[in-house]
Amino acid sequence: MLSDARSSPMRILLIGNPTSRRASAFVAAAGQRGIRIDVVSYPQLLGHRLNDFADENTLVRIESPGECAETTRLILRAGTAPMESRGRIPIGGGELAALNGQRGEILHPLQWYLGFREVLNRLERAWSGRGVRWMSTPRAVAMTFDKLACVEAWEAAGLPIPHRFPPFATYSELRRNVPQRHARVFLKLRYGYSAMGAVALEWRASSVRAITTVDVVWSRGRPRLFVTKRPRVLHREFEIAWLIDTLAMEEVLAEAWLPKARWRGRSFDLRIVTIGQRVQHTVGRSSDSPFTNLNLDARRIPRTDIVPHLGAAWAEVESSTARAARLIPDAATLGIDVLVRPCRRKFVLLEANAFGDYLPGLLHNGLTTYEAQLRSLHMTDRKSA
Amino acid sequence: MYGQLVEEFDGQRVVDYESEESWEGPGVAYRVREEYDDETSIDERLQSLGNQPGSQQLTALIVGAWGGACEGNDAKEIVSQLAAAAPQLPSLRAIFFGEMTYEECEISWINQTDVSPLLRAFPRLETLRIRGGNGLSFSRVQHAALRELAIETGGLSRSTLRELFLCEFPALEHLELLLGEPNYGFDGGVEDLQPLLSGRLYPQLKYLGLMNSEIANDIAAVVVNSPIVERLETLDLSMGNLDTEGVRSLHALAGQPNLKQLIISHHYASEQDLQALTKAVSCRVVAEDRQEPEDEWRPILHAE
Repeated sequence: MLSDARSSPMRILLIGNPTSRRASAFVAAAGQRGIRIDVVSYPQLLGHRLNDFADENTLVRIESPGECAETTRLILRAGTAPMESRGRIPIGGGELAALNGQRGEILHPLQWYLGFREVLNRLERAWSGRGVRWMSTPRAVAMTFDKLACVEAWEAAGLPIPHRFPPFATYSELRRNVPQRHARVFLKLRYGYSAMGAVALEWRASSVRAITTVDVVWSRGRPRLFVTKRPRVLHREFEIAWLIDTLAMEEVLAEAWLPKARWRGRSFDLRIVTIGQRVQHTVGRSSDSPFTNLNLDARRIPRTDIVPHLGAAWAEVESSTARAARLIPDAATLGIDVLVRPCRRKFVLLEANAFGDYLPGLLHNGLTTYEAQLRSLHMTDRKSA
Repeated sequence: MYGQLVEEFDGQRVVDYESEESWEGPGVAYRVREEYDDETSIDERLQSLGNQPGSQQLTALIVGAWGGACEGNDAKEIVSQLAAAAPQLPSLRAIFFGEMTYEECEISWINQTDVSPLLRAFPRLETLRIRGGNGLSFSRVQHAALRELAIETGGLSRSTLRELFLCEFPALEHLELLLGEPNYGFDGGVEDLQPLLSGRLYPQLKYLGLMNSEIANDIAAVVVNSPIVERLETLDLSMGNLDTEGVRSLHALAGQPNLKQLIISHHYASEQDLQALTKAVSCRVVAEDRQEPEDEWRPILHAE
């Protein structure tokens, strides 16, 4: 997407929450390289004529639309029509206007995804024809927000992914789909992110337990779901069934819950950042729970420890991750999560995150993820000029 | 819930033993475990460990999750394999058998077995720690060297307790019993602890832990007047659901000459209860990790 040779100086337009740490860190990194950068929030952008913001000299970086209640409402509103065309009843009108999600609250992920995709489509339609360039294209960003689309693309290409169980609408249907006496199943929201709505479910004969990042708070007779940093363990089947039924309304992916390799007594997985489809920053994430997301306070394991720990398998992890990145076309950067099996010879690809490059302080060849991206742009730009 | 595997055991750093490449000499505690997609079994790891130069000096060993532990496979085979490895591990003094995190296998889902073959195979064993109470059994055994025994369960059945009290451990100084709760297998009462509390067993006992119990208040009420308490340096009633009532019972420990330490961490007592207790008894009181009751329910630390 950076192939156009332009003589005018590059200017980046970052779409995101201007007060977020992500935006400020990226702006600072661009500033250090003397690159012009403007930041526009989603509400500002979508409240105006899109053509006022970008032209053929603009390189657009789409950032996370998180951490902003107004943006969330706007995205959910954009999801109203697509929800209806799926025959689903969206939240709308007064309920939407009054919606004031708290930190970590899980707010209608399906409608949110459909809305975000709608917003991304709008950008693509308005700008792609005008020669606006993208770091990651709207289409690539949208694809990473559909976990199923990513694993299906990887599966079709023969890359290793966890075994997937058939779709289900309720806990009972899941139990019917997986008739084994003992099973370990990992559930995640198809359109979730940041460990949202994750459940590690296991049953054996009549016993069942679920470890989950979801906390349920009842207010005014209604449940509100939150992501909690302290995973909860549920043992009562009715409680587990209720939670899974609730999450399944938003579409849930059921995969094998695979054990992970360990580092110093704790299980870990890998967050690998690809830039321009090449593997760059790598960090291990170790945790006492089945959830190794850094936003849940997993510990970082440096690349210099992880790579030797994986030994000969690392080269294969690296090449498979690069291939996985190529299967999400036109993504300038991705954060790809890789689960290494306990034998440390086998691994599976878990998911890709379009905004998975926010890893402050993590350096590769002396550069942060943002600096490395800016440098790769610069070089591409010069090459094409 | 045990969320983490230990990093130290019997005063030594723990190293996962996977193959001879893991060997760091006999000065560390090795952990052998099995994943379900492992190509190497615990038995093969034990044999490999026993073949290392210096394995004769190895003093501490951990057996972690065995294949199929979470599916329900019991520990019978692993016990006999470890017992068979005894000639290669003559210096072994400490064994932790069945160390698993809740993620690998809930404590109440671990299926144990008769562990007496280990005691017979390692006559010089001084420390034995076992996780998991289901199916745990001690066919009558005498062991002259065992000084420390810990049984961690979410629910210990009275038949296991009875079997344990029929064993002879004349050197035992330190006993921890994590008794658990009825939903997960604890089917006894304070009366089942009588053989222990009467003081007839374990003449050397100095540390008694009756822990992780849902009847912590009942235990407190009985233990303070029991003959064994005169011998104790530490009484550990931690991890359970001790509250105001139990803490008041503990005032009766005031006159105990040998008691140095009373541990009640993970409790439901108030600050005033604790102050009154500290004033009443002369020993050190350790009361960390105060819990807030959830409605009327007072959960213990390790159950399911």
